[in-house]
Amino acid sequence: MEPILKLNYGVARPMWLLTLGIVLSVGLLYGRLAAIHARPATLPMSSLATVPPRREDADLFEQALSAGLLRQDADGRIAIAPADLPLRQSYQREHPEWLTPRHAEPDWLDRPWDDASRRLHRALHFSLAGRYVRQQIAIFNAQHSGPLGNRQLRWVGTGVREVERDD
Amino acid sequence: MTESGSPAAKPGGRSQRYSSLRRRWWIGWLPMLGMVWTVYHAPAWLEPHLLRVALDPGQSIVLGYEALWAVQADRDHVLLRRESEGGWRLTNLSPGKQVLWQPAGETGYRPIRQWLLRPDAMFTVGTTSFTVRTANANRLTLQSDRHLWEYDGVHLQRDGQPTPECYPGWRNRLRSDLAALGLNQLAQRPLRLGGGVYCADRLGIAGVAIDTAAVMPTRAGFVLQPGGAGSDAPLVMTATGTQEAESLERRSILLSIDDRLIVGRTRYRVTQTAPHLELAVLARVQRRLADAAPPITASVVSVQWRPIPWLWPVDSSDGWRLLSLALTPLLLGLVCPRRNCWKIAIALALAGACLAIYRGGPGLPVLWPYLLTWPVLGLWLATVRSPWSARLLAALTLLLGSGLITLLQLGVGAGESGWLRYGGDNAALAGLFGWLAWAAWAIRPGQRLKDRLNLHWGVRLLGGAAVLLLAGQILWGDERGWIGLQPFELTKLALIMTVAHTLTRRARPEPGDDYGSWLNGLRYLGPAVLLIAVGGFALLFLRDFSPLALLLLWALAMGWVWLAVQPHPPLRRTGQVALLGLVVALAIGLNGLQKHPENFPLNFQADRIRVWAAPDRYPHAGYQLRRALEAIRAGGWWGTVWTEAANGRVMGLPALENDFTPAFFLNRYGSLAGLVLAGIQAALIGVLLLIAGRVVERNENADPLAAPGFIGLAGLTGWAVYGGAALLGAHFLVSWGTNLGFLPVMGQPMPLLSAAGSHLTLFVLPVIALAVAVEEQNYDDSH
Repeated sequence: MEPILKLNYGVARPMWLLTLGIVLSVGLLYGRLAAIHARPATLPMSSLATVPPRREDADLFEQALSAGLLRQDADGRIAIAPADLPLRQSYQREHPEWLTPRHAEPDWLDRPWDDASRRLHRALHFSLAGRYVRQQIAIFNAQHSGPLGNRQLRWVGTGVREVERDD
Repeated sequence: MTESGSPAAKPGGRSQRYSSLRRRWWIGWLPMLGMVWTVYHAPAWLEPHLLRVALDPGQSIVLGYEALWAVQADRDHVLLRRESEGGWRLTNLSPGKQVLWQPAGETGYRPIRQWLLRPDAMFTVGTTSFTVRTANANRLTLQSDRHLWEYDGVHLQRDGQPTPECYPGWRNRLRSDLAALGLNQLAQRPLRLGGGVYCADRLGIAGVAIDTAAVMPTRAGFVLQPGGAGSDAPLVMTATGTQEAESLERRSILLSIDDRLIVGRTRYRVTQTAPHLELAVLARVQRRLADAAPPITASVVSVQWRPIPWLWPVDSSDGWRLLSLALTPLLLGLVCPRRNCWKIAIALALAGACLAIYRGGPGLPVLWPYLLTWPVLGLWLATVRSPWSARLLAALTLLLGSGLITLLQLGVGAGESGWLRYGGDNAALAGLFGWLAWAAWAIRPGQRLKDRLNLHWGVRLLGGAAVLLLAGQILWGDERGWIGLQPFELTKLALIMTVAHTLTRRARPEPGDDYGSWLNGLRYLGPAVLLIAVGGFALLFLRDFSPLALLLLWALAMGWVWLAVQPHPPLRRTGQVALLGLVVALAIGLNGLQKHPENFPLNFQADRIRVWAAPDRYPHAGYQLRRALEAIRAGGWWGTVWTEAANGRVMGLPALENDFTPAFFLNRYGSLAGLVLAGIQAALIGVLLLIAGRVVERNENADPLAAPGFIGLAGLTGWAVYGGAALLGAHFLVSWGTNLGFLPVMGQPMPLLSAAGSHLTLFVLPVIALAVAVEEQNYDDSH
């Protein structure tokens, strides 16, 4: 086969393009790294926040409490909706004969059940934040055994606390 | 290779080649120097080699991570009791972690909290009692207060009536079909005890949380073991009504010589039971610094220490096994009559040694895989003739070298021995690929074989294999892969080859190809579209979405290439403008999403988008990103490795060996080294694109009658290298984006840096090998 010299003529242009590609990549990475090193708090959006942002665990706890997925027992301890509640809900509609007989334990099937409840339940049982919330509830339950009285449950800082009622 | 075209035959060619070889020699040595420095600079660790426990009969002791030097074990993990007759009993005390046991002479570990269900045995879960009526390998019958339960490993029946499927879906339908065909072994699943529902694989128990206990089908029959719910209170009692009644959580085993145990993540073998109990440490154990006093642990436990095995095996049988795998090809090479047989035999012998190291135990010397891999990189660097191949391999050597040194540092700087396996496995796999490629290069099929290669069927075969592996992953694997492989890596290779095949035929139609209508054009796009659809479906099904982001970036790049070969200028220009518009729209959309994550239209992965936008609000879901950024800041521009030999706090970052290896690299070697790394990565992509461009350009200008073989194979390879470069570039972008927080977290490794064996051997190295092969062919034909 005859040599195709054209292939080797254009070496200068590829080298120029190659250099440009390298400089662009390194430059963009430098910009990002410089931003990270310049401000310890440099993160998307966080620098715009003027007040400490609400944490995901606080949101999850309070939403689960208001949706009925967390309940205060008479002794002040917190009960968590069972992990198979979505299955129980669907069996209550479609196969009630295959639900286990309930004795004295609380009935978790008396609350409205919609997509929002389902999402919240999934977050409570199958997310990192949910796991943390459940751990904090276990700690709270281990330390509290008396009725709440005129106090209410709140997520304060990184865990569950009893606080005076707002009203 | 043409004799007349040899560079040595030209004036000045010899000195030019020597100068080039000198440069390559230095590049080849750089990773070796890095490895030597890493080993020299490593902390002087000592690892427990043998634990000896001395107890008098009747005594017992609670041991945990301190006394056992076990990784990820609890403080009080096991109870060890010396029986009055001298035997040793072990009980798992940990509420949430298993102790696995492999009795001598058996294969496979099992939890010690496991109880074989035999006829007439009784057990209770909560307050509900069960009596085993029948139990064999295929069927279990349990009697409770009011009902008779039958389980065949797939479906539960109550009083002869089948329970409904818990979650109807095609996977469970397939399971039922397999069971109906008598293939229960392929469809078996555990029966979960507890919860509020009776269904196909759940036996509800009032007042007991779902998955408090599970009945597992095994070869020996059905066994009862604790479920995943976890509970501090003992809820499951075995052998009730007998003198052997005990809580399942407190079941104990009698230890014998050659039993194996896993406590936390650490493996042991029982080597002696009298007069003392001796446990040899097999793998993954905590280390201590040689110059620090050993911590005071239980006085009845004594420890024998050893340094890290750099060059000599702990057990000489490991060395012999490796040698035997390597010797076979060598002997074959001696009896082979062909002239270059010895080359092939040596390459195969070294590939065999790499494979043996990859499959071998953790007792092998740390540096063996590295010492087998550097020579093959150097050999390839010295062998290639085209300057573009040499540049590509130089970039590969530097990147792979950096990756292996980073993973070696990860292993030698950690306070636990198990981290060494990531670098060792990657090095062994890279060596295996390199030596096999060298053997294939030495064999080099003749022109007649090349002409016989049916490209169309070759590409289809590759695509078929990828689809089959994906199907296997869907049926029997999960997001992490199947049979130790990540099938999607082969799918990527199949995808770029299929699309390359389509582009080759579009750019250079063969006789009979008709692109006159859109319909005919689509016919050639069919296989690629099908493969993308199957791959996309599999990823969606496995809920592994990050490869879809890679495919999107790759598809944009290949769309550009596809438009570039369109023969009609108006179509080409309009298409390219539209594609550019799409890229700009995507960038604007991504920016908008970061500011307003609540606008993300889909349910899945919405949490990742929210975390990406405001990681401060998500201390749990955003943990990885926050820790990565902290590690990068702690490393600064110069890194910590120069002053601190041990890795320190960065080891707490999850997925450090894989998705977050770049953060580890930046922490240890500094951001300046990161810039150099990114520069070499850009060079690698650039050289790949240039090689692909050269091949495609040559293919377009070549006379099909003068170069029939080149047109098909090289054309296909050229487009495949384009596709491979685009996908590699997407990988680099996604990985940097994940680690630096400018993209949502996506679980993808950084090519040539992270520990990812399938990614390295099924995708990255094949793409580079294709580029080198076609460039060498191109160079030989042009000189």
